[in-house]
Amino acid sequence: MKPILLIIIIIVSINNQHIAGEKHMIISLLKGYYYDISDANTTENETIIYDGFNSETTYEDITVYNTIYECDAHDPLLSEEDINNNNINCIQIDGQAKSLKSPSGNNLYLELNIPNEEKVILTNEAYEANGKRFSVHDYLNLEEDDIKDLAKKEANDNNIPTYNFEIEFKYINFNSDNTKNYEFKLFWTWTKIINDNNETYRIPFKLIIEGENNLKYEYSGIFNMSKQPENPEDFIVSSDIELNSNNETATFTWDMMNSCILITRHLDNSTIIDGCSSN
Amino acid sequence: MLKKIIITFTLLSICLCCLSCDALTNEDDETSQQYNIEEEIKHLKKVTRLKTHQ
Repeated sequence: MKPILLIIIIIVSINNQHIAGEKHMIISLLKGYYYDISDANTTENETIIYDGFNSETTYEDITVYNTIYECDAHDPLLSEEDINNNNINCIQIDGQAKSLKSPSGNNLYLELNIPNEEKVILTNEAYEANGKRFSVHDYLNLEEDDIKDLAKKEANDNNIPTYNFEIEFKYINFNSDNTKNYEFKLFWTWTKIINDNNETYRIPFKLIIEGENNLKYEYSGIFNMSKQPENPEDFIVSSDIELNSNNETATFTWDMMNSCILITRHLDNSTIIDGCSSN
Repeated sequence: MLKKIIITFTLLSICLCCLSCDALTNEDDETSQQYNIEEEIKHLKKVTRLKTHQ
């Protein structure tokens, strides 16, 4: 499996491949879902104020899809042929998808909301070079590859060997009564070296846990990777975080492929959380 | 004179005691409103897994 495709699994949630008509696939953090764009009767327009990583954005004319399927196959690497040749079992579940696309078809905003379980949002996709940002929001009539070319040209014209790709990701986990349990925001930035396959990653994150009595626990840090690991199982990132209670520091480790968290206190090397050892 | 000294000392002790009690009470109030490491760890444990795929 090519490493770059693994990144696609993690981040890029939309797949333009269709199965059995007009279902579009969404990868959430927990399961694989599809939303049915053929059910025109269930669409409506609405405005969303998105509280992003660095700023707040208002999206208008968001299309809402009320027909959601949970399927037993959700690998974005599957081709259309793969999908059609495999029997994919889907059940309709409660939930909504919200989508806003540019005239050229780029995804400006995508949200999947499964009540009592989770909400996933992907937005603010952009390329960046030489300090200039080329966002899908600013180039509504250009396809993504053309926007990427603008960034590459900006880099080339200024003798800069790299350009960046950015996308914002928000995951909200709900309790069984649909109250918020925790929120995990990531601002993926990966730097691509022109004429080279090497890439580096810088992933600022914020983790906000809802406590009792309106007490919130907030953590922030930056995951850095100098290059993609050759073995996908080694896609593990770490960052220091500061505990809210006493300002002591800890190491926050996210094993992406095994989907688990490890937190170790610097004070005494004791482990606060080890979601990985039970794998 | 001795009686005066004893009364003064007693009053002073009572005042100091009250101040001390007050300080303790305030400390307790403050603690209940602040973050507590055990509580924080309990909350952090809500986030043991962040699945990206199956």
